[in-house]
Amino acid sequence: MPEKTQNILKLYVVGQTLISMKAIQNAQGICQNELDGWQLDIIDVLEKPNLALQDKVMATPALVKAEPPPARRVVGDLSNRELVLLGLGFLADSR
Amino acid sequence: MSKKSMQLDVANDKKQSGLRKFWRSKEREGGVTKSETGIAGFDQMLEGGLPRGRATLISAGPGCGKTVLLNEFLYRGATEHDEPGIFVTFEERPEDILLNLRNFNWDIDTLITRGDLTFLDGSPPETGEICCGSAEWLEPILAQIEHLVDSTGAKRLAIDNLGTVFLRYQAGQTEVSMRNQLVRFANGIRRLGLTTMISTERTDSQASLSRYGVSEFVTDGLIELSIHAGSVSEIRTMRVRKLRGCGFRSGEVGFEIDADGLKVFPKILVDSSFGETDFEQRETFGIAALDKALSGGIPRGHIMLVTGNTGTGKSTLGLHYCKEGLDQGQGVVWVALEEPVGQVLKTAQAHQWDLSSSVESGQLMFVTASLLEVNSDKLLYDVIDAVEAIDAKRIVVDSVSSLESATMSQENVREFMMQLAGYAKTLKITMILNYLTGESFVADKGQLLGATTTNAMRLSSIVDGIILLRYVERDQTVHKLLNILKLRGSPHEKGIMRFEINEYGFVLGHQFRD
Repeated sequence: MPEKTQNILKLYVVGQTLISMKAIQNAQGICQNELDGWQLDIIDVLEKPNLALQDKVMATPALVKAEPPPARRVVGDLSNRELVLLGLGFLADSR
Repeated sequence: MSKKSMQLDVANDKKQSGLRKFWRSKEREGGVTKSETGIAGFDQMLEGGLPRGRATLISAGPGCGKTVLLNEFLYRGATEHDEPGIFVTFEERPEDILLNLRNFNWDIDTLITRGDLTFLDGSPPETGEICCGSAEWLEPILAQIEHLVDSTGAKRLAIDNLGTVFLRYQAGQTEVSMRNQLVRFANGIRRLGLTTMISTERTDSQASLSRYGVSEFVTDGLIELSIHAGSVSEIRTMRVRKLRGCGFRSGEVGFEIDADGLKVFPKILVDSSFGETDFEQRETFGIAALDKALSGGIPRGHIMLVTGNTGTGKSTLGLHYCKEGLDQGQGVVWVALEEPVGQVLKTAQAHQWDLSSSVESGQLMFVTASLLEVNSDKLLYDVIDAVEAIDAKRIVVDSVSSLESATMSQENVREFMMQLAGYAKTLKITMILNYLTGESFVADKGQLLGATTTNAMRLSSIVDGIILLRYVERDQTVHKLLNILKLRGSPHEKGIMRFEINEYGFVLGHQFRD
């Protein structure tokens, strides 16, 4: 299903801290269970600070939806599934 | 220090010899060194600049000019000290900041194109941002700053304003964790070796770091900016509260913002180590009798108070002193607080003295101030600028008393005079201060001095000599009298002398006998 994986969610984290691991786990869960056709890219700011600069990520973990517009982002450990979906603009779509 | 910046330092030292020397506090080997910011007057207040490679907190309320200060810090670094900078903005968008900066005489866009100024945009995204659970801001921001340092070679960093970051990502966390974060952030900056200004809101605001009681001791320096409402314009001041391991000028210091950026007016230290007066060198009035009464004139580097009632001839005496200096080829600065410059020139013209041509040739310079709102710190620097522009050897202040009748208190005036006197003495400039005293009109018989020795005498410890001008009413006529009350370290005529003012100016006559 190549056409379905064009949509990318970027998850910015810093290192392998407890918060990072928690956020990665939560984001993966949401992608698998709630979203269809979204690919999750995990980016470590310490390794690729230039990407964080481009996306203006000031705090991590940050889940960023750049395309398609509107751009949205959720910052934090992503433990509240509903808030994450709302923040990315998916919940409103599904209603 | 790079070779280039060392050359710059030498060049600067040459350019501003004299005072510059005691503007710098001593730096000790292995200790904190200072980095000159290049902002006018700011480095003098800091006695050399900001602690190099360290973070200084700028605490200010809205509209106090902190964003301008931060930007000028980077602008001067990039243009004058070969130190590229990074501006991290957590409040305004870079586009908006740029829009404001283009109103200054700074070519910001070229700096950006050259990579000497880089914005790190941390302003809140337009589309909003949802916070869900705990988040970390410190590591990612430091990582991005470090990345920019690697690619631009930045030496300076400005962060505007860190308080909002705490508000955005750490609201509700304990004070201890806030404190730890700030300590780690300051350490991170120190590790990168960047000379840094971090702005924060003043205490009463939500976005203030001071609320956590941490800013004062976590950062290496703390400077507060304030704005007070004056009766005509706003009065801006700043105060250094702390500069770890470094000396600085204490006290509240005035500053202004114009199209060139900030102008800070630090207090001038009264240097007690003036060279000894050489009493052989005298500055004359060009009035033979008066110069003789003064044993040859005012000793060079001395300050002479000329006091008297209105119309006694203080300004005329000042004009003589000015004209004589010009005739000897000296530069003269006239601080015109009493009359408009045009009036002074006209009065001189009446005595056949053409001062206008001296103004044109740059030998004579007038300094004026709006008496409605005298900023004593600014006036002091205006005088210093004028003196340095024409390398003046004489200053006439006409008059000191008009400062008192304006918005300055007597204490203000005294402080101003002490600083001006200290400056003049350091550079061996001989100065005349006119002072209006109201009480000396029509002195009674046997009471020639009487109430005249009042207000002006408060300045007595600052000045080296006092000439008193008076009226006395005798035989249906008003006579004008002059006597020399004081001439430090030098003999002088003790008698009371009559004088007249005619078309040639001052004519000093015989001793007055009652």
